[in-house]
Amino acid sequence: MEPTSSSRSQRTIPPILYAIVAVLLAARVWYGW
Amino acid sequence: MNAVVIRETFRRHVTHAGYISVLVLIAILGIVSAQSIRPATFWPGLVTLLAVVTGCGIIGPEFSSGTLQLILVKPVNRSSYLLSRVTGVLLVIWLAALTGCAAETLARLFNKSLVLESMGIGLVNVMAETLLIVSLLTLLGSITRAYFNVAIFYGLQIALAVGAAVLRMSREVPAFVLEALAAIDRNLFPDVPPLPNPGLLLLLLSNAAVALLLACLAFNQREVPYGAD
Amino acid sequence: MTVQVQSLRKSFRAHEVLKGIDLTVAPGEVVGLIGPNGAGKTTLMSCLLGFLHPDDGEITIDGRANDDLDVRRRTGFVPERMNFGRRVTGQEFLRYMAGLAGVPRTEVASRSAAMLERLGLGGAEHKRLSQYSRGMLQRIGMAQALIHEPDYVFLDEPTSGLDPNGVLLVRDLIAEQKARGAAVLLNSHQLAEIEKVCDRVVFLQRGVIAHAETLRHVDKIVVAITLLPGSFDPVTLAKISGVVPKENVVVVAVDAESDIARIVRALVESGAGVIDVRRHTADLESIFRGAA
Repeated sequence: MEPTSSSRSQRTIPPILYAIVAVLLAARVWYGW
Repeated sequence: MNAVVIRETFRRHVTHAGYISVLVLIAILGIVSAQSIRPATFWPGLVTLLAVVTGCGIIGPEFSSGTLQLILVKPVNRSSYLLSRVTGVLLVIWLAALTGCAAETLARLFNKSLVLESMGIGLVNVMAETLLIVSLLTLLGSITRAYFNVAIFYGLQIALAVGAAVLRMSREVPAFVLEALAAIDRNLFPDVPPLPNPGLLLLLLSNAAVALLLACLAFNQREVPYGAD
Repeated sequence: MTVQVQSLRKSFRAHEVLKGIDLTVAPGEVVGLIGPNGAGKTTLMSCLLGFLHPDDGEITIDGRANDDLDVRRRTGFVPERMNFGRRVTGQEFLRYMAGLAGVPRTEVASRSAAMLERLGLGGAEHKRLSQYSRGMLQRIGMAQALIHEPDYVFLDEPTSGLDPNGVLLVRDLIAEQKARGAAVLLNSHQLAEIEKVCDRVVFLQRGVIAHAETLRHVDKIVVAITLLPGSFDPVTLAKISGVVPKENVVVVAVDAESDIARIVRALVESGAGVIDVRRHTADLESIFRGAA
């Protein structure tokens, strides 16, 4: 998962986690749960 | 995700004598569950307990023990490490859930009382419920040390139940307070019967995802003090 | 490929532990960090390794942040106390660490075995870490730090608890890293070991660098020649050696060993009584005593 070339901090959060959270919360709001 | 971490986490749990014993116990409970009318009656409880026991060790104790210092010096992304640990533990727990489900299914095949759909739903519900438990323990572990995570987890559960009961007896407590407490309880410690309920599943998954994201954020900021001068 | 610390400040619970530290470790250099307890050595090490966030100042390794993944890939850390799971065996632990450090999967087993052998743990790989002695834990601590051939090596009290064989092994390993061109920083209370192993010593006291001393010049040999008191004339001596003697000791930096012989011959011919010639090492004890 980590590329070797450019600067990459040990403290970055994978963007896909934000995406998953957003989708799930949106679905909850949509279905009213 | 870090495959090395997932593999090592999985391997370490699965080769533990205690885990193997629990697996056998779950299988036995699965067979016993085949006797009852409702599916998945006994073994999910033990799987949930396993989830708490394995989940509280993901992060938290590692802050105090000095293990994290060794890990964090390596080229491992902090969130990746955390999520890989969670994945490893979830695989361990879900293996146990599968065992219980498989044992019950086989026993029911014998009994000719097999209802595949409800077995499947029971399994999915247990998997989702344990995902939430592990996520909450991980979040608590990322902001505390040692095994405070499990203490807070159970403490909160009890406090919400007892608190709500006590407050309900008093007439002066406004309704929105009781509703808020109920909502928190429902979101953190939902009752998960082995029945189909997509809303409940969505609740479990979304809360787990939020907890994991918060855990990653907390862990990123956390200092890892080392030794003493 | 330097480790660089600039104006580092760090406080703990309203107490300022590091009050502006500047430090550099160049590739191929071994720097020793000494100081009394409570001086901030562990805090400095923790900040360098990214365990603690500095309040002020900057830490860069090879021009990048210390928690950059590429820098981590090239960093090795030997902790003072090895704390890892009880039930893991030495081999399992080292293989895990190697895998995390980025050693290719096909090489993990072979490199781990070789490293364990090198560190004298050959027969103990299937023993659990909980059964390891203090010395064995130190050795496996070194193993996990060096298995991926890092360019930056940090050691926290590497020889504490080691028997003489272990101390020699650590000395050899540090020399190896230096020869490989790694930048090495070590933290130690063992002044004798520091003198033997380090090129430069930094004395930390009450959160600041109180003193820095170069023990071994990169391109010069430093020799201390002790003379019989009263047998020499300081002015003549200064002409021969290019250095004014301190009491009855002349400390000269030369390019080659033949220069040492030449100077000693010249001193003897001038009538001075040479009673001792040795490589010069800083008197670390007196630095400690002087600062107390």
